[in-house]
Amino acid sequence: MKRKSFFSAIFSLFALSLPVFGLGEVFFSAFVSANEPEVSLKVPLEKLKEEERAQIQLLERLTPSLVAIYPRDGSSGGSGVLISDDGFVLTNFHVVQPCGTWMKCGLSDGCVYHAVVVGLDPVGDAALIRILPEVQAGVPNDRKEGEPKRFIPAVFGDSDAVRQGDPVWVLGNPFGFQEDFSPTISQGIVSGTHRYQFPAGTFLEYADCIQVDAPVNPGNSGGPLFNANGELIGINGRCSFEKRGRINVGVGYAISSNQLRFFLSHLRAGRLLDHATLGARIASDSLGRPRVDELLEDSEAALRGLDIQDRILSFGNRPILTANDFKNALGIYPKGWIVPIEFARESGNSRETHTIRVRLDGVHSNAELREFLAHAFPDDQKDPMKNPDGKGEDPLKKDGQQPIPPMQTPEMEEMQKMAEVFAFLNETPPEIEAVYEKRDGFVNFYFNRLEMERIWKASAAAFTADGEFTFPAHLAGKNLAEQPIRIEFLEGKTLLKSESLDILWEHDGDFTRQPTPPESQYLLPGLTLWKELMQHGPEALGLTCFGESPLPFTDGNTQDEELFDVLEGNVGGLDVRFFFTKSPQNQPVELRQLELDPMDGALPWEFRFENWRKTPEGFWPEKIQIFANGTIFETLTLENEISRTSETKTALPTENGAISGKDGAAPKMSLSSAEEQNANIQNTETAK
Amino acid sequence: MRDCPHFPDFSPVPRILGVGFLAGMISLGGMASARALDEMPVGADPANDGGPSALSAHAESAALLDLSQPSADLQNRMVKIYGAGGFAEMEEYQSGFFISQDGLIATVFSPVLNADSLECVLFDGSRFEAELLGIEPTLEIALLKIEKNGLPYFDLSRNADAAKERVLDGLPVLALSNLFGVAVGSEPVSVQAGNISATTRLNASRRAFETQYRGKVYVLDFTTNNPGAAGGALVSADGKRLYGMLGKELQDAQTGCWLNFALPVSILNEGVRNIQSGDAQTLAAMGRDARIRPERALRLNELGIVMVPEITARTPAFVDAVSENSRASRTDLRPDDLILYWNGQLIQSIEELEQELDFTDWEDPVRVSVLRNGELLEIEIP
Repeated sequence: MKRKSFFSAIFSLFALSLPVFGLGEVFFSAFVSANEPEVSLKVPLEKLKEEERAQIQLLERLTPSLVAIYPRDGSSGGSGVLISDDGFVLTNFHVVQPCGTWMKCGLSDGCVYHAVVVGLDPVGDAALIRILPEVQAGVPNDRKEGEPKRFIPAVFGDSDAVRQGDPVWVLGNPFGFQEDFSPTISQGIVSGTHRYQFPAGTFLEYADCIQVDAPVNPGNSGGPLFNANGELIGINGRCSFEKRGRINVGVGYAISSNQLRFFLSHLRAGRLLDHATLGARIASDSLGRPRVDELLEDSEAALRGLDIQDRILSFGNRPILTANDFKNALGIYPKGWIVPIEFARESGNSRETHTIRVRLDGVHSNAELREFLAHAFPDDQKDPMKNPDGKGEDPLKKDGQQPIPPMQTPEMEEMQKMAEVFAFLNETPPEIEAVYEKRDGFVNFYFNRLEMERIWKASAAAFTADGEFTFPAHLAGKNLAEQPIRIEFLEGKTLLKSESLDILWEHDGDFTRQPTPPESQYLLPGLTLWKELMQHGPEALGLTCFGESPLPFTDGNTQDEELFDVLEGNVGGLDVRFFFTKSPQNQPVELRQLELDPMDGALPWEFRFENWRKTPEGFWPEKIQIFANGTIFETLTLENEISRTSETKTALPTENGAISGKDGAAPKMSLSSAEEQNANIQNTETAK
Repeated sequence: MRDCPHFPDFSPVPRILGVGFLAGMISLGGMASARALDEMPVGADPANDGGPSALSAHAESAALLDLSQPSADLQNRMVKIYGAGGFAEMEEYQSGFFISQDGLIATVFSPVLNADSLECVLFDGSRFEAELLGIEPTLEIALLKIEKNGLPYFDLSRNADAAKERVLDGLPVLALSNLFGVAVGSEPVSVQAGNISATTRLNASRRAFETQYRGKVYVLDFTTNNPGAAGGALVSADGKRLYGMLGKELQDAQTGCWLNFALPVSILNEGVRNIQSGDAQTLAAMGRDARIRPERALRLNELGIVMVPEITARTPAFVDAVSENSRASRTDLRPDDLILYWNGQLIQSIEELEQELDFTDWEDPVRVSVLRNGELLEIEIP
């Protein structure tokens, strides 16, 4: 490394700032003109310079988003990319894995920062870490006292718009080149889109990835792939190697930015993520068309109407023409995502197409995931490099097509030895301890708490008062005659009363017991859950943040594939999920949907809250539609007279402060007889 | 400038890249020409009417950076070929492309084609069984055919004429191939971009590169010759010209350096014509050179046979000595035996014997016919 030829120096300099071809003539004309005067300087020099300047500016703009990631003993190294100005960095799971719970990051400002792990997606080889804004080493930045550090993030692009042949830029930290953390830049084209690269076992699957011929080498892992506009279209993480050793042979793969967008909110919630399965095996029929070959009977897809031999037409609004298309389309989703599926059922000459929305199950059981985490990501923070059991095959190290290995140089080995000597330096710094919270099943629960607080604080439906209250409503459904009713939330029980105050339905707060009467099923438990959430907040209910998801249904109030923030948990034995709107800042967040999974394994009960309005008693929905097993069960229309029955403990956080519900101006609610709806399966086409 | 580890000396790779890069710049004048980049000899300026048009020509060169159109246009001429292999480092797949509307496919002759049935997967995912029409062993090319008409194809003769007498060194090119078998079914094959670094003879000294062909090739400055890429298409960056066919993986046995190269379209065209006219060997008439080489060839010293010194070019294959405790020592083979046949192949010189060894698997027993005192003896070396 001490010496290099004149030529390679020249080449290196130019290679960093030039595209594949087209812009270099000016530079080389000096060399060329001696022998080939014909060639020189017919090229519009100014124009070329202009283009080159634009190119350099683009790369200068992208450079600050690049992160060099090192375990704290400096024993390996990878790359990452900043995606927010408060320090969230996307990278590969296999880059974070040797780092443990915290690591060191070098930015192009020449400074070293501490970073903490946030979320991990070992199946998709993605990870989110957060850089703490305090500089650990390097030139101090120029911000003022007390001013938070603002990082310069990359901007997401649409990876589905990428075409084969598009020029791309790779920024990264290959071979540990970055002494001063300025990125190494390489350029190439998109060699293929929507590629599928098999996982090692069930982890590190690259579905729907982007294949590039830009050099991607050890140390580039986790770094950004940019399109010609400088938009982030992928995270480089894998190469095809074979006989030539572990260096680039013109074949690298990047996780697509659109896949990462599905996972981002889940990663931010500090979770250990799993990928999705439909609970069905899709195979090609004799004509190569994708059909359901096997199906789990209790999968949600089956419950919603999918059957063996159905032909898959689209998945997540992507056309599915082959079984491989399906693998690609499925591989980009996290467990729990809700995806529209269009399928055709053919019998004889008739063909019907259906569209269902299905919540996808996970590839792994929770136990499998935890076991994987314990093995691949030991939480002994002082010694993350050591394999917990010292033996056993690393689940990541199998197979020919592999993630780019973290780079390892002799210097690093030296550093590692030094680090062992100065092991005390590896003590977790207090600023890391402040942002790390261990909790079973989570990567870093601190960030889950943050997300939960963010959602809950903005939730207009929240009220903190204890006590009992009542509201009148109109009930319409197939179970009770259409009539005005009252819902009374009392201490320890919830009642549904007729206008004459006869108790029609009753629930005592024990979710595991059969409701009274049995035909009332989960209506009152669901409403009770709502009340419990509103009164006590998500933490008291043991909820955690799931991240974003679309709704299980679409209607006029929801944009196509609009995303919601989801809190989930198990309350009194019932699995429940709450969907909140992602309202703009300073706008109230609304509870859009409450779901609970019934004990019998049937489809979830859905409570759809509609038309939230401001009332003197706070924000209330105008209507709650309750669906059981995919069809409408009851509709509650709330009247505008919510009241408190216990005067002592009432306070609603409204603009005017707490408002006491006086006397029995009981809110009325009504059950209205909605026509039979089958919201989840629609016949959209019938052909002979 | 201080010493820094940013650019380790990867010689000779940066040198090769650098040459290609430099050459690419030289040819840019040709690149900038909108309509006729291929018609221009390198060095000529296409925008010969001077300044202002040079500006607009450059604008077009920027447009040419969009390589997505050519790559999309060419996909339907590419074929994924599946045959024998699939173990160790022997891939069972390679690439090819159509050279006629009625299903002729040009590809590289390799062990993949040594299969009872060859499957060709087209751009639309349709599958066809291919017939191996013939091979040109000296060029290591093969001609396949599927039963389908109306196919898009590369016109070899036209492209060969266009490339004739032209120096392509430095031209930007695209390589299309199913490297690593990444693409399956209807998925488009991989595309890579780079430059032609040099036109040269593949003067492979024997056993440095395991190849029969030693003629003209284009050396490329990007890693094209990957597993499964053999038989892929090398085309101009605008996708309008076929320049050649990607060769197989070649590694210099001494230096370990891998070569990325393509067979020029003119030579491919000639070879295909030879196969079609019957001048080249058909499968049935395949001679020695067309046989499959074993993964590890036999060497005489492994048998314990020492030949007489090779004094002239046609030194007869006389045995000089048989080493003790060797495979050969367990047979009746003796010094001064003249080897006439090796596994049934006539041997007329030590050189021919050594060539024949390339096709002998080191683990297999060998049948040798020797002449001793005017008598022909059959000897089997286990």
